[in-house]
Amino acid sequence: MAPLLSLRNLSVEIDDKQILNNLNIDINPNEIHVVMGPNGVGKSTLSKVIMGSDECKIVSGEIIYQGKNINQMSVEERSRKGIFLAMQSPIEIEGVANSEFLKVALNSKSDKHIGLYDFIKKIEKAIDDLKMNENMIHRSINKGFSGGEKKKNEILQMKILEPKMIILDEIDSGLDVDSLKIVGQNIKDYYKHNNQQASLLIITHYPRLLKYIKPDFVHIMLDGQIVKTGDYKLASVIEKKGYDFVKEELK
Amino acid sequence: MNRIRIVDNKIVDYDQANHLFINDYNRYSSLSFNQDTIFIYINANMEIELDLEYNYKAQDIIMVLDGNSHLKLFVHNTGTNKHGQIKYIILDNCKLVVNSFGNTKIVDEKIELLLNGVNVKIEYHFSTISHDNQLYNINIHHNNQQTYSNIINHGIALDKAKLQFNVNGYIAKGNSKSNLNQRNKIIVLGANQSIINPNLYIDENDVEAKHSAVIGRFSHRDLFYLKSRGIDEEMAIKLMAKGFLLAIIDIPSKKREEIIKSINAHWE
Repeated sequence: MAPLLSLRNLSVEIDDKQILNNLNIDINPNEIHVVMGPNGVGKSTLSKVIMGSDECKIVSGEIIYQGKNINQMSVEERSRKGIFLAMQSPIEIEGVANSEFLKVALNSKSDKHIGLYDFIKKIEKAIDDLKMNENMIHRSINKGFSGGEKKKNEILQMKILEPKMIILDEIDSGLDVDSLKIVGQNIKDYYKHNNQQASLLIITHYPRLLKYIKPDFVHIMLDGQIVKTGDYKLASVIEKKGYDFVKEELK
Repeated sequence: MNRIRIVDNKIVDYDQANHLFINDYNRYSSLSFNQDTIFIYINANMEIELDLEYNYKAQDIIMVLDGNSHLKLFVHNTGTNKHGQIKYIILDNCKLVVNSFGNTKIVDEKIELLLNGVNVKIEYHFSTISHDNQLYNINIHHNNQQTYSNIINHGIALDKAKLQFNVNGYIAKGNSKSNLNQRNKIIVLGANQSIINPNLYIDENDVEAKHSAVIGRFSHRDLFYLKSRGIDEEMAIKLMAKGFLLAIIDIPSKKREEIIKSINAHWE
């Protein structure tokens, strides 16, 4: 099976500082990968470079998606081809209503524009699934949202846009216990319903989201590299022992 | 609340449900026109919404709010160029809320806000989009105690447009417990020739005042967010421009649609 996404010997700089260092990872269709690591090792850079942020300069290596090198592909094109990044700190855009934004985004994906009725039904279902306030759809993007609402809004967008390669950058931060459960369940349901289609790359500090979504692989990232890979049990070990034991092993 | 709409010196229906005849209107307040000036007098204790749409090359508007009246005004200037003055004279305990949108090519306009009465409150929210030269001089005179003004100006300067906001707030000695805020922001989508002068002239200690001025472009971070949902740069900028211009003005939905059309027309 060809990987859905491969990062091959990827080295990335931000503001002339090397952040990712010869990083390799293969994500096959229908796999769930988790990347864990302490602060400042390059986890968010990893998510941004896959999405195509111009903050990140690829010094060497390749990002291969659906068999093609996408190093030069625009951000919007990556999105249209099915890559989705749920951001760690979703931004607020005053004056742009969530509904208008989502409709434009959905219509950007294909030439066949979605009808108003179908759009509303789809939104209502997603809002209900996520137990969100129905008024949020008329409010400006993330404006005045709590940390938890912003994260739920990211998952709402995922459900509406139906991507194939989903990157969740610290989606669990800012979520209370109940919201974490709702978000976890929604991600799990989406993954199940898109069986053989969707893959997940979950970037996190803590394994608490993994109670709801059992990963196939857990990668430990240090200094811009994947230094250790294991199954979901590795996340529990990290929770108990921290990252020091990995550093010890590497000595 | 009464609602009327004035277009080109004539009162027209606001909508079918709120048809208000000029005779009814005259019972409460007065409205007069001559070639160069619109004079609007809002009687004391009135609560009224006014929709003022005009497209004259040169026209002055004088508006007086008498005691305890409350005016919510929407101003929409649609002409090709505009040189003129709008003067608001506001008396005791009045509240004035202005939501204004400019879609005029060349502008040299003076706005005089005279807070002459005690306990006057003004919310003045203005948005504009321009390809050409637009100059706005907005003077806020706190001429009495316990007066409050909140001035918000948003502008988008396209191509080689030169957009200038000169916003001068005045509080003379003795006009204590007054509060003056002004927030000005211009987004440049072409060459940057825009200017903001956010001035405060305050001769009284017992007041609160804030001012800010920002000229810049839409942030890369915001653009990245929209693009990461499949929206191309041009559409992302259009969305953000509409949001930026409309976020600060509270207008009826029908009017909002008209304004969105006129904003979109700048990219056609």
